[in-house]
Amino acid sequence: MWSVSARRREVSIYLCRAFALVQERNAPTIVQPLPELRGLKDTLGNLDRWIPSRANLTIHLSAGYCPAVLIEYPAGIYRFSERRAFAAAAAAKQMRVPAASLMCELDPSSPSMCAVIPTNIHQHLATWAGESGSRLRRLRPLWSLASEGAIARKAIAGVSLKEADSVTTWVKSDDGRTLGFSMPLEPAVSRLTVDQKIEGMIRSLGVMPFDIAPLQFVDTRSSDMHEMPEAWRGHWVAP
Amino acid sequence: MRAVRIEFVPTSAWLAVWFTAFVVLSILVGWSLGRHRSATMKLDATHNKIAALRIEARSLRAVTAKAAEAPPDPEQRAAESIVSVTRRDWNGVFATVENLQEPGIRLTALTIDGGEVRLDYEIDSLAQAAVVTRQLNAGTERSRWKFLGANVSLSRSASATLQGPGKLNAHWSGALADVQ
Repeated sequence: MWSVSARRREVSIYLCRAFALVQERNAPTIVQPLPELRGLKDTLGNLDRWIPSRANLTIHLSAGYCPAVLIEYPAGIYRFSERRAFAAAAAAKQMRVPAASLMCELDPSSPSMCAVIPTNIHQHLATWAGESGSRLRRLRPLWSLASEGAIARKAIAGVSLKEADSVTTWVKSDDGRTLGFSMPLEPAVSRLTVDQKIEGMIRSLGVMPFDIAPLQFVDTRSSDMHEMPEAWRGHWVAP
Repeated sequence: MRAVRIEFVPTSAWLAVWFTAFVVLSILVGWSLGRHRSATMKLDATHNKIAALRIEARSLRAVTAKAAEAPPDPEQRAAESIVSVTRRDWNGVFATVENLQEPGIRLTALTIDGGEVRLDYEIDSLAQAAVVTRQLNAGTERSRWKFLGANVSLSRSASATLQGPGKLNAHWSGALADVQ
């Protein structure tokens, strides 16, 4: 008897500038270190061998690829489409790039913190997924996934997520808004300098550094933090 | 703190919502169309029934009108005539006949035809006819009974040759309204 299974396999991918993680459901995570200064196209080419054909892909991007940008809206902009357009323009201005080169998304309930992704990266990912017969089902920044964890939701003042190539901090402001932004981490910079940068970043948001819940995302499976999202469990660390 | 949910790939959640809404709407539209169709069919059936009843009523009306226009049945007319005759007061006519005290005469027939009463008497002579006429009209200012004529009775004429002088059949008539 013939049996054809049309069911697609679910594959999760994490991409940062230092490494990539590939995880198929119930299978061990594959860690793919990435040489420095390699483009995204080469990075994705390295991942091809780990991705089954006709897979449903969920891609989490580091803040190095998909940073958070703090947006202050002028009075009178309330509609979501207007806020998104304004956020895209404001983010492009902050990053000093043309507005057309960025894609912007935001959570309507927390519009002051938007996520931006360079248009060419988004296109690379979509093309790569299509070429392998896979379907790009979800594409989101890792800091957004982290914000759904219990540690982040229970945090009183704010959370700081450190990834290999970036740091993202978000805090709860006095008026209840969620404010935050990402900062890239250069590989050559010393740890002390990085910590100083993060501290300065937290202070700039009006919060004391010791009130912040620190989180780190690592390539090696180190601990089972049950208070973090199930995706990438074991890679979340609370230093 | 509130989670910041961001997604760059449009999720199919809205698609599912729209699809569900479309399905529900389709079901509702289909249901109401079905109801409308059923109601229309019922209405058509009722209209057809009404039309059939109208046709039937029209044909019944035509039959009734035709029956009303049709000449009455002779038997029925006879029966109606009998009924009307029996309903009349005949005391006046019978009293006239009973009071006629002329010897030698014999009532042979009393005929009612339409609005007229006819009396046939067997009499001996034409002179006796005059007497009978007088007696019939006795007590009234105008003569209700009219003498129509007399003829010889054939049966009696045959026997007359054997038994003596023949008898005459004499006839009187009067309007029913007068003689009652």
